[in-house]
Amino acid sequence: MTREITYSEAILEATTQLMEGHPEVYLIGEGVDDFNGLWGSTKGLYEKFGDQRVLDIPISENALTGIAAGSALVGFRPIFTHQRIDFMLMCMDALFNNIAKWQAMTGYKQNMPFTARGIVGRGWGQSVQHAQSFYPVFAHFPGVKVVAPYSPYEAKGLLTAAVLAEEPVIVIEARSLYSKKGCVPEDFYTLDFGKGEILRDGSDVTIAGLSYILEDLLSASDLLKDKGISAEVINLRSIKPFDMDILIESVSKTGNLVIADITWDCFNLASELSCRVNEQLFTEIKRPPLRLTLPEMYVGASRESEENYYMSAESIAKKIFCWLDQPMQKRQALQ
Amino acid sequence: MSQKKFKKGITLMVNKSTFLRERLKTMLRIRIFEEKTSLEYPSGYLKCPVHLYIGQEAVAAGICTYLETADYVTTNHRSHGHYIARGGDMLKLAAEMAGMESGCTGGIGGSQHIYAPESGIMGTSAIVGSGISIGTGIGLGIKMKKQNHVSAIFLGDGATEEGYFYESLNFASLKKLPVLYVCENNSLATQSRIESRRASGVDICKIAESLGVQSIRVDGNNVMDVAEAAETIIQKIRNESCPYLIEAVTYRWMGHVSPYEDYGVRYRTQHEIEEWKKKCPIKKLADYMTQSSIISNEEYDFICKLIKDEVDEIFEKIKKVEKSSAKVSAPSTPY
Repeated sequence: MTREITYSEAILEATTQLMEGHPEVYLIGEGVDDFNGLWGSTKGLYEKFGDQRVLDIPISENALTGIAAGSALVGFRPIFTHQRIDFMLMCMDALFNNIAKWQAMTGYKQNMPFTARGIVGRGWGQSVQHAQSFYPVFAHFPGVKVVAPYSPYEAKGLLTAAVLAEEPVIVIEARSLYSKKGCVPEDFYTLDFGKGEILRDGSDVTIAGLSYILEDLLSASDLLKDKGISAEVINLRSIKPFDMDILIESVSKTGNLVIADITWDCFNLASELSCRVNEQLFTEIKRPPLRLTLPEMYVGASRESEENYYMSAESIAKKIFCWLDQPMQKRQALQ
Repeated sequence: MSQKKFKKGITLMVNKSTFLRERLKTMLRIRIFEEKTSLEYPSGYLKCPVHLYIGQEAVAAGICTYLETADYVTTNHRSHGHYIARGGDMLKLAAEMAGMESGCTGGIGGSQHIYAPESGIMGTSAIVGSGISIGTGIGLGIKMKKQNHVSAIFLGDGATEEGYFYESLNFASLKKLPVLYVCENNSLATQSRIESRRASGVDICKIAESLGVQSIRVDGNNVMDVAEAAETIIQKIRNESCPYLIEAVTYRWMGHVSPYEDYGVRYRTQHEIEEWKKKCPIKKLADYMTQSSIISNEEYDFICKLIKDEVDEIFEKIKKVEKSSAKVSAPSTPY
């Protein structure tokens, strides 16, 4: 049966079902046993499963990440939760010198089922450190999967898939999506890695994005519709592996690609994918892809600072409209 | 506290002769294997950097004596001694150094990334200190499974300067994990002496104790001392599930990462090396055994010859494989 629940309830449901069905799954992280349960996403788990499976930890993110990885080597499936993704930078050695490379360092004979949940704090007044979403740092390393669920349906399905995977997976969650509702099956299910989803069909321009920016993209596509532009909106969902097929198919149809990102301008998914689409559809696209990213600076705490810094549906629609308005000639293949 | 003495262990009293003979063989296997590695290195078929253990053999031989097959060992970049003392197949180790697929890590890891799950070595990180967290996590896994295995971790004095050391010992102490930390204090970290890294009077055992981890310092060049401490402590860890630290004071004869000696370099004098060679752990035991008539000179020579023949045969086999058959059998990259 499917019913409407919030993003955080979907995470909670996935975790509960995993822990009920898999004794090797346990939850670890700062404050996982908190009474408010990381904005509801771990609420009641301590009471239900006890302190052996819901482990609050000392403020030692790096070693504890390594410790969770050690337990994975003897059969456990830890879910390491960071209520603020910023603290994942404390774990870079454990995550990427070890966890990401453990399969390679054992001649691909040893699995490393390790899941990290990192919550992007963007919201009211979070300021310089607590609003960032630096997922490209993680996605750079081979050996790690990175996903960014947008809907409650994805939040449940991708977390479940992450925990059951035999390799490390990092789940990028957005705090601003936690209270959003969506249809989620009650049953246990997983979603495939490397698969995007078309949120809205269109024929003039492909607009791809991930995580919280998709809300703005859907609103922007409404505004563009009023101007007579039919936009196809794609939820990339899986950062690594990413879904090239869905992009290629869509851009082959529309000839125009916009990718909106949730992080700074350089070295991100928008850059990576626009480059790859350019490589594959060089002579078919009507104009070079448009990348919509955050400025190369840090956001301040004030509302004005946030308003100037982040994109809105209106600013996105306007940029896309102007960009499409410029006449471009198809490029010719080299003779 | 650090310097307490244990009563003579049961094994030592009942089966002293057999016991010492076995320890001698283990140390000789490590020594002869590594001397051969050093000798063969210029031939070029050993294809990775090596960190040799010569001079420290009593630590691995003494500790591993009281570990059971189902126990776990976490080693580090200087891994050969621990691997061999755990009964690891020397042929697979030599093959690994030659980059062959038949190596213990499929030829991918080389000397620094030993994988031997049959010996409880679940993978090896070369990043100093990180193995401390992995081994502590294995201890957490053992505890969560309610098993009575022990997770032994070998670390150097340099690793005690990493945050991993403090974070992991704190957690092991807090959760009463069955972990044995074996600090092989050779006073050298690459080409840096302990005096240039720590204020005088800083005591590794005291650091452990201040974190709630009991500790003892032993002569790491005396296998009987190491074994005696190990027997009591490992039994205590197994029975009571609590972490313990053994600091074994010893010395590395060879260069940090080199198959050769490094006489004439700035960080240590030839005199210092010669003084430590007088305290050779193998000579110390062999002298004791011959003087106590446990073993004759002829028998000692015979044991040496047997091991030498075994090791020579191993390296001949490796040499015969004309080309390295190492293949990267990694799964294709996610994208």
